[in-house]
Amino acid sequence: MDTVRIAVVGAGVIGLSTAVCISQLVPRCSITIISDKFTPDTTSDVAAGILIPHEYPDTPIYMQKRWFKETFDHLSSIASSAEAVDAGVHLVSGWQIFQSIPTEQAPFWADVVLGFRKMTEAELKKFPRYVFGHSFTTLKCETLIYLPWLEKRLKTHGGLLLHRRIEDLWELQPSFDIVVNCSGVGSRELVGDATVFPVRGQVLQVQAPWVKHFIRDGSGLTYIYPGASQVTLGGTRQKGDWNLSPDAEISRDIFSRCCALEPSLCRACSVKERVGLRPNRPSVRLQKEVLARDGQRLSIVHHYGHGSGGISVHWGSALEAARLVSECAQALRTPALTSKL
Amino acid sequence: MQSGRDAADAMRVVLIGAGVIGLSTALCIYERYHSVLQPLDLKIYADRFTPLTTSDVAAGLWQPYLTGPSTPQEMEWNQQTFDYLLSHIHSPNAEKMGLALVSGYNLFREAVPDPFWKDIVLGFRKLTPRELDMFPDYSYGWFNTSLIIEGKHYLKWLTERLTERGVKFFQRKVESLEEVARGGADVIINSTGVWAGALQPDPLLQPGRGQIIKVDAPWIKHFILTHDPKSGIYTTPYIIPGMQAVTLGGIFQLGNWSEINSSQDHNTIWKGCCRLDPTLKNARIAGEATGFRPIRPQMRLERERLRVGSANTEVIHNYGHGGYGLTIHWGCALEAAKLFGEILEEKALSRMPPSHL
Repeated sequence: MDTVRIAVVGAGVIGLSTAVCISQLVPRCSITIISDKFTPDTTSDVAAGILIPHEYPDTPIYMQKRWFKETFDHLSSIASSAEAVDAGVHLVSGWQIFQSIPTEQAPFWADVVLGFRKMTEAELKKFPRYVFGHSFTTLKCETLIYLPWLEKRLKTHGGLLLHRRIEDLWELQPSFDIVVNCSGVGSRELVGDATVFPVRGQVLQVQAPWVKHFIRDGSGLTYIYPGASQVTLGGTRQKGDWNLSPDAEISRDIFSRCCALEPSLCRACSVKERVGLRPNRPSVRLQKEVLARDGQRLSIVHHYGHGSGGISVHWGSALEAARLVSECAQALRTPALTSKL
Repeated sequence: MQSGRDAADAMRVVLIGAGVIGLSTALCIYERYHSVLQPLDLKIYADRFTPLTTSDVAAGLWQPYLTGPSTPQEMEWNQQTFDYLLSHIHSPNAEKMGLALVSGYNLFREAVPDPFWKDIVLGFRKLTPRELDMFPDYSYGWFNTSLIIEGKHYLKWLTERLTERGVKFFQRKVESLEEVARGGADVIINSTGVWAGALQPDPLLQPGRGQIIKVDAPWIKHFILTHDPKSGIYTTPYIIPGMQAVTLGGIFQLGNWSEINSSQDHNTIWKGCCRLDPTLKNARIAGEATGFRPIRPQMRLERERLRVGSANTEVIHNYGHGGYGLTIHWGCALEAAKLFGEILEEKALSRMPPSHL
């Protein structure tokens, strides 16, 4: 087999970064991204893109840490290069604060971010209802800029982007040899995975350029993430809620919670409301599968279910997915092996 | 012979200079004494108002010099200023005042002792090796959280507070202290900054010319200050994000009175800052400015009694704050107000016992 024809379903941060990793790892392949939504309409586009991992209960910690470190290192080198602005990646410092002292002194990712330490008493005075906190420097990956940058990189390497809604992965047979399923919360219907479900998040995007630090309540429910072009205020975690329309009452509540943490925000203007459906799953699904019908085969690599942590681990996770795709490609190129599948 | 005033007359106070030192001193004096002195006649004379003062050119980062302070008093004034500004950080007015928290990096080519202000700022610590990797030309440094107090916003805010309180502003070029005394001022506050020498010769006062470039680079959230003890303060690149734009600098020229933006200095700043942060190459230049830091071995904050004709006029000098005027302004305003209080006490004492009925 000469050129391996690869289709990536889904054009969020996972789909695009997986496609880029595949293009770097798998020789002689063609890559087509197929999605019903592209930036700025994907779930990733709603996320603030701050690199603070979300813990997956069923993925081993060492793996989550490796993915996070690989993502952090990768974005770190972009952040200090001339590409930083085009890629939408920059450093940001701030605080994660707790209303009661957490059981673990430091999270598993403490030594991946920069300068991680406990907040001093003087620093905690800024947050009267909080008793403990972490101070550190991390990265922010502005998806509204990063996704178009990834798309550009793909197109430069001959990748194609196709605007289409797929109802069944088998539709892609026989046009493609390998399908990489990065359909996020869409996998629930697309591949019938009942363990993935939406966790609805509503955010406000405001203009407040004087806010230079992120502030995150340890519960993850309230946060302020300043970016290059706006500050993201959040949020909500509504399990099983598929509603993509912003709720005005929720917006008022988010604004009030954030102003309590950062009073100067009450002077913020130009408020945009956005909603995203986090693809929640007990673990990230990184798995090969072969679909067979009427003597035909289709290799699948599943890569979805990153919940709140998609941007935080995307590069490490994509490298892993690309390795699986590379294995599939090698298997397809070795005729003796394929007959045994 | 007395000047003919009696206890019922207003105290006429003229403050010269409308930079951060002048306006904050005026506000401090007003707050403390407007109920004691009824009425408190406070006028501000200046030939330059915001956005044309030295304070408007400054980036506005709260940070004293690395060495010093000259006196324990200055240490206290720095602390008072930081605490005062920090107490306003939580207020909804913070943004209007030009006030925000900012964190960042101080970079060195070799290890240096910790600065005297390390416990004033928040979260002061040394840089970790991975953080230093981001700055290949430097091998040592600090990280801390400080404040921005941006001149343009702050002076506007101070002007509004003073105007609300009935303080009057006059655009005037004052030629001498005597001129103001002869005009009827009882107390003169001299906050004329780098131009104080024109009112009264001061060989210790010199301009420390600075030039800055303002850029739009909203992805930059940290200040980055580099230091070279051999070449001196403000001579090496610095990048300071403000309320909206980012200030790039690294120019300090003692004795240079040229107010024109120099293209050579522009190139020095641009090259130095782009080397420090390569992402700046994408930044749009939004403006450029020159200002004169009022350099003096030690600031002048003291009283002087001026004899004009047959009367005495009290002068409070408050100038010569170098590159740390915004950093120390409130502590100095409090001190100037204290000196003003002493003047009031002396004047009250001088009226007792009544020498005539």
